[in-house]
Amino acid sequence: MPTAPRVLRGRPQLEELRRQIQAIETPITVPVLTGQDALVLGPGLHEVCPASYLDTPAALAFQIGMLGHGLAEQDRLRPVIWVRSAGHRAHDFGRPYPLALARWGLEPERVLLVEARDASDVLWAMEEGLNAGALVVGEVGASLRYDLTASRRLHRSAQARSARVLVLRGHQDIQPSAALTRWRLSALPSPDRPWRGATGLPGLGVPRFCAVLERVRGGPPKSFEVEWKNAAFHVLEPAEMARRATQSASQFSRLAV
Amino acid sequence: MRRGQALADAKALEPGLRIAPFAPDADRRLLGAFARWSGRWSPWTAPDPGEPGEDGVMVDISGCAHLFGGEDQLVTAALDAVRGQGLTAHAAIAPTIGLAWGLARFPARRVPTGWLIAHDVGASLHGLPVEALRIGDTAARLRRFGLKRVGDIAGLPRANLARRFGPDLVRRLDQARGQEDETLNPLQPKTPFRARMRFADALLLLEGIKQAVRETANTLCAHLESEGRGLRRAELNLFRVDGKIHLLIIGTAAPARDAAHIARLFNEKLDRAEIDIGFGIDVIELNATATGALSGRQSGLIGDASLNDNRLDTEAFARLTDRLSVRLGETRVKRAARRDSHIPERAAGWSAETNPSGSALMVREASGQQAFLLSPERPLLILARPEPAEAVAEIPDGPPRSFVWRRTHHQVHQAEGPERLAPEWWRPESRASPKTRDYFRIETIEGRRFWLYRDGLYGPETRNPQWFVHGAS
Repeated sequence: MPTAPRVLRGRPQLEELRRQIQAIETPITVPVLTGQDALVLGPGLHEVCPASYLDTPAALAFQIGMLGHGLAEQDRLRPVIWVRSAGHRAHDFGRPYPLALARWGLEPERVLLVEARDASDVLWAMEEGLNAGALVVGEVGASLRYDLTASRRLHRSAQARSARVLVLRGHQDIQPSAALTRWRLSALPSPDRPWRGATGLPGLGVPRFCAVLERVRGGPPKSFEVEWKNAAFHVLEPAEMARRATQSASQFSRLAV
Repeated sequence: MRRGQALADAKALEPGLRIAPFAPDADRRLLGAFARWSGRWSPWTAPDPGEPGEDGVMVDISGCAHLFGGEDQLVTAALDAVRGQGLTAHAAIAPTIGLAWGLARFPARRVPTGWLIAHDVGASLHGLPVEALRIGDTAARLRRFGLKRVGDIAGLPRANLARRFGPDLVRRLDQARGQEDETLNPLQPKTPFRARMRFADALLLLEGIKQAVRETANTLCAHLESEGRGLRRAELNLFRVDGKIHLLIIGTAAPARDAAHIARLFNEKLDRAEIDIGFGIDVIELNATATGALSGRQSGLIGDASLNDNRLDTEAFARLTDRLSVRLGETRVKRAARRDSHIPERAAGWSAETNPSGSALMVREASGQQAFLLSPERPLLILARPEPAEAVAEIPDGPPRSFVWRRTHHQVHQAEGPERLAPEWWRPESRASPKTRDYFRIETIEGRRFWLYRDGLYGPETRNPQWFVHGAS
């Protein structure tokens, strides 16, 4: 009876396919967290957009910090692929400086800088990195190649290896994408150091950012004011916010954008 | 018609003459390609350029003849292949280079098959004309004395020969006899690790070639493993039936001995190179041109996972580097590198070299050391070339209160500095701009961070210091 095995073999395959389809169809709900946990990104694709052109360095800094923020210890040692295209606007602010990366929680020896020729090579290198289990930082900018399909591919590859991929987009880029979250970044004035030097200007405090969670799957948008301190992000409690100490925490609520 | 004839005379004799300018460079390139192609009979080949129409290729077939069924079969097959390409060729096999050279150029032209094999050095040599000794103009002088054959001078006293005709004649005679050593300077560097496959039927499909590459890689890796070496750089030669050779080169970030990985790198190249297979590929040769020590790895007693948990998986990292650089180009995939310098743009950067000399590459076991946290605060992004900015400072050596960079006005809110970096006067390059830089980290009222410096100390170095923006955030 030559047909029997084929029937038997078909069923598990069918089941497997059904299971796969179900996995695709179930809406991914990300519980919207508050406080510190809200900044821990799940595996998948996340986007960071600068609020304006001049906020691009701040957005990149936030991105690098977020890459390792809240990761488990063994994931912190994954290689990082930093992909940028050779003719990109973000290059206006220069190249990443290896000696500064450690301050943002990234050891330079883990980083592989890829300066791709064009947008399609950028996407290819990012996907290749994800498939190898690396964490990926991509500067796609306002690229037409980075669309819904491309971003979904990246997202799926990242989820399969439970890796993070953070993409820096242009500040005017409004193309839809399949990212889990999209952050709109602008720099905030850091708190003054309590002393003034001989120069008359106060020293630089810890870097602060205004991070607006514009888009998150399965949740409302939200806004955070965060600071980078002791190699981690901290959400500022309203009382800590710049020069608004008099307002109580319960009264103060910031509108989501 | 003869060599050296005037073009006008030659055209008068033969009006339909095809004329091409003499291109010695192109000829030499062709001869080089031809010598490489001759690598199918022996790995030791060298081009032997001569007078126009007298170019040759030397092939050291020691230990190779039996692979082709003997010297007769080898030389017949070789001549057939060469003539198949439309070339006129003669060949000779002899125990010494000098004798083979002479035999191929003089008696071999007169035998109908076009090739000769010398078994007895003395007898073959003595019958040759004196020109066959590679002595140039000396041959004409010998002829004036009636010495026409090598046999005529073989019996003469060496001292007299050397005095009258120069030491070159005696040396060439000794070389042809095999009394003095003459070695072939092979075109291909000797590669100790080599694997090759020949096919009775030429491969016509890319799939078949890939399969063959996988098998040669297996052979090569077995060879490498027995020597405890890993591959750093490899060449793949695809010999086409009609004589063309495709050369593909890959490099690896760390010594690799994984056949599947190597085959995959070549597959990537094969897919992208769009090579023209033509009438097929009949020989595939894989050379390891550079290797590095790679000892065998022992798996842990409990399991690998526990070992790798707190360590960067360097092997996987190296593999990823290889794959990216094969596809995108070797210069586009970079790793952090640092140099012993305090000038920021020199102190650290990105290097595409897979193995820069010494400790330039920032590679370390991910355990412990916090060396980079101790370095002074630097901006995340640094401009390749500092850009001039218009800055206003309260006092000449203080931080800027505001500055204009790229036509945008920035109001400074916080500042730290100066960090004073003196020029590296011991380097000749820095003598062009021997000014001290005062670096300031500043934050604008919007919270944007920049890294500025003032070029030159106010007073001793300059009266009118120029400001530059060097980094951001």
